[in-house]
Amino acid sequence: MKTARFFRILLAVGIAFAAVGRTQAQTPAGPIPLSVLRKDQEKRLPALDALKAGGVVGENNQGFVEVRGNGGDYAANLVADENHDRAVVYTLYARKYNMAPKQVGLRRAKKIAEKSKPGIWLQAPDGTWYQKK
Amino acid sequence: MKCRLLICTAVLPLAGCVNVKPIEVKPIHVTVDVNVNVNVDKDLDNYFDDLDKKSTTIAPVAKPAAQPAPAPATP
Repeated sequence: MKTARFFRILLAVGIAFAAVGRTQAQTPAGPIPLSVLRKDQEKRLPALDALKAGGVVGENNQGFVEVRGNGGDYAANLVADENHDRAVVYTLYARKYNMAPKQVGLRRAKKIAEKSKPGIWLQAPDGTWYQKK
Repeated sequence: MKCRLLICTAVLPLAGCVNVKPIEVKPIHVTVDVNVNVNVDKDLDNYFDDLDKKSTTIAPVAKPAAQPAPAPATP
C-alpha cells in the first residue's frame, strides 16, 4: 500500500517536472535561431554603418545603438530593429551564463568602444558622448 | 578578598573574547565571475566577429604578432 502511494507521488512529481521543462523550452526568446538573427543584422549592416559614419547614430554604453542626429523614421526604425536583435542575443547569452542581459550588453559595449574606428560616436560609461579619435 | 579574586579570575578571560570579529573571505565568487565574463566574451566574439569584420565602422582587433622562430643553432 505504502509502495503504491510512493510510486503515485513519484509519478506526479515526474509529470510536474516534465511540464516545467516543456514550458521553459518554449519560452526563451522565441524560436528564432541565432543564424537568422545574424543574417538580418548582416543585411542591415551597410545602412547602419552609413548612419554611424554620418554621426546620425552612435553606440551607447549598454551595447545598443542610439539615434543622435536627425535621421527621421528611417534611422529610428533601423535602430529599433538592430536593438531588438541585439537584445535577443544578449538575453540568450545571459540565460546561458545565469546573468543579467544588461551585463552582457555592457561587455559588448566595451568591446565596441575598443574596436570602433575613429569618428564614430560612442557613449562613455559616465553617459557622456564623444567621437572616437 | 577571596571572593573578589574569584570574580576577577572568572571575568578576565571572558573580557578577552568580547571584541573578536570573524573575517569573511570570499575568493570563490571572484573566480566564478571572472570565468563567466571570459566565457561570455568568447561567445559574444564568436557571434559578432563575422559582422564586425564586414562592418566599415569597426576595425579588426590587431592580433599579437607571432613569435619569430628561433634561428637554428650554427655549429
